[in-house]
Amino acid sequence: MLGYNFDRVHQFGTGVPVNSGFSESHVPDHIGERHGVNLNWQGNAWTFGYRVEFSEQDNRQPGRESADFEHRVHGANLSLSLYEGLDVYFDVSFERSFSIEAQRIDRNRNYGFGLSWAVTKDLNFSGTVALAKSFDEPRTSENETTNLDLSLSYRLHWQTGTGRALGGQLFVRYTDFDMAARDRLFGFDFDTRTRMVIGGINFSMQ
Amino acid sequence: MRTVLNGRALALTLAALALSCVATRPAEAISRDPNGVNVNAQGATTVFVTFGGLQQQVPVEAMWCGELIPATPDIGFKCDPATIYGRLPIRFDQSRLSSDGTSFTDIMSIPPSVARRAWQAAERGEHSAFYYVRRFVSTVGGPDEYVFVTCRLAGGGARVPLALLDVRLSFAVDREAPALRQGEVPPPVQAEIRYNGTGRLKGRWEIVAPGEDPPSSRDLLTEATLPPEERALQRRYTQIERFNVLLPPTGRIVLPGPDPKKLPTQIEGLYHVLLRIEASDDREGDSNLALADAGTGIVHSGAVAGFPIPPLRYYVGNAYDPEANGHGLMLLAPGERAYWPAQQPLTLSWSQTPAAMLYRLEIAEGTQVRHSAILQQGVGTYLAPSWLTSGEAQLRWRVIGLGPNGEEVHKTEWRALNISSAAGASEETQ
Repeated sequence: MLGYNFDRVHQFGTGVPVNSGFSESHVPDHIGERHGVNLNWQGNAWTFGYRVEFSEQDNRQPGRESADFEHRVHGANLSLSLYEGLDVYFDVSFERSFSIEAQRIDRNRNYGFGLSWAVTKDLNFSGTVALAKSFDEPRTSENETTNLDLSLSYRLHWQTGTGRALGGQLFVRYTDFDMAARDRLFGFDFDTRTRMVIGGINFSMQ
Repeated sequence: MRTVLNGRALALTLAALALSCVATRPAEAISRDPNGVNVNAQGATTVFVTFGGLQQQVPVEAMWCGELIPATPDIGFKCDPATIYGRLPIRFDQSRLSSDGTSFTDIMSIPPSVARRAWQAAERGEHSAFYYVRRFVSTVGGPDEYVFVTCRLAGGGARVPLALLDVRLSFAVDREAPALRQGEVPPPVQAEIRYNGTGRLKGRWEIVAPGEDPPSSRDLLTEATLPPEERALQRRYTQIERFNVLLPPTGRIVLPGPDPKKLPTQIEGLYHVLLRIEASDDREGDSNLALADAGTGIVHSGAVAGFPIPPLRYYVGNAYDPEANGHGLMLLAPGERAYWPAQQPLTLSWSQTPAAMLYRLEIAEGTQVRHSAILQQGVGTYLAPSWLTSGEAQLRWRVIGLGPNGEEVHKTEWRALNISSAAGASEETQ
């Protein structure tokens, strides 16, 4: 399936209001345009999607003529059912924003992977990995994050002599989160790493 | 002559006192940026404002008013008490004083009631701009200082800082907090957002899994609401998906949520879906630290919000788990291999299970189901049709619990029942 959408909004004031403290520069004259294309393709055991968006913000009021932005976003995703009970997905996106007034380009790159596996009827495993990096082209700021998340769960159920059933679940989860943020303009430099192991058991009694 | 001298001395003394007062009175020291903004005349507005140059001063209340008057003997201009429109509500006060105490990040959240009063004043022919006045108190006994920001009544679209006014996360079904089965795909998520201005809305969908510490209210603020030094310190959770969309200057958008298949449902417990909004580059919301005497650089504050974005919760449990919920469904009477007298009314009964919406009763002779009936939840008995007990027969029966979509959530074992002409009352109770 292929889709295209376009929208354009022009918002402007018809004059400078009296007794208001407004100057010509305060009255909006703005055009926003967006073009988007989506492609989705689906098979028996897979789906693929791609999207791209171009947008522009054009300010025309006096004093703001160059306060314009251009944006571009590309994204793709792929999901696969490898065999019964095992699903994986991948996604990736690239974002670019250009500030014409500041002559600065901001970029963001994202990569994601996920897996879900029903090993048996009662045993499940799932995991995700996400990598994200954002920075501007003069390299005044950078931000990088990595996230790993793994979980394993096992379902429990017992039947008592009177026919009553007791349900439950045993689980363990591991999370590793790593973030580095640097801003040379404001002088920040953060490195954060969080590792977490969470285990638990749930009982269901009704 | 004496009187004249005394009068001259008094005048000189007063003049000297006045001069000394003027000479020792501190000049206005606190700067701010922006010092004037367009605001929505027909609703709420939120603006990021930086105050700098604080000298042993701490912020106190903030007011909106239609007119300013000199604050003498304090510093600056304060609100004319006759034209006060309102005071910044404490619940909207997301301001933060910097660690060194020299700068102050303020989030000016104008309630619709204040904008309405300003609009009414403008309708009466008064000056349509109004003022936000923040008072700073000296910690060393100096005079108070009042600093104002001009608010110009405008539309809520372009030329107004990009700010979120209301965010409602919901499932695309009529359920507030759905309970899901393990492995079930949740319904689609969406965020209905009302906003001012125009620009990019970018950020992440994140998930808080069972066992993790829930986010604090500061973690739930949008990134642009925080001072720059605090932005990287917000707690992160497992990322589900990213988004980056253009908000046209129309004030409302429904942001689709992440792919529902990516929402985890393997581990039982309570999940929180978080909408994390990153600061975007919006020229109208920029705050120039140099102009505010708070350092150097420009703080981007596109998508500022004066409130924490509430998470969306869902619960993964055994609401419809047949293994865990089947305990309630048992056959009660007649008992196993009971003899029932022919020609007598036969009532079958069973216990209820919360997992079932309906029950299907099946009565079979051999492998052939001779009769079945669908019964509502809450009805645990059934009077069998008389033809079933008209003659001798070896029957068996069972009950199947049906879920919301008609699926079988639990079923009992078959139970034998003998219809016999010779069966007596004592045998009925077996």
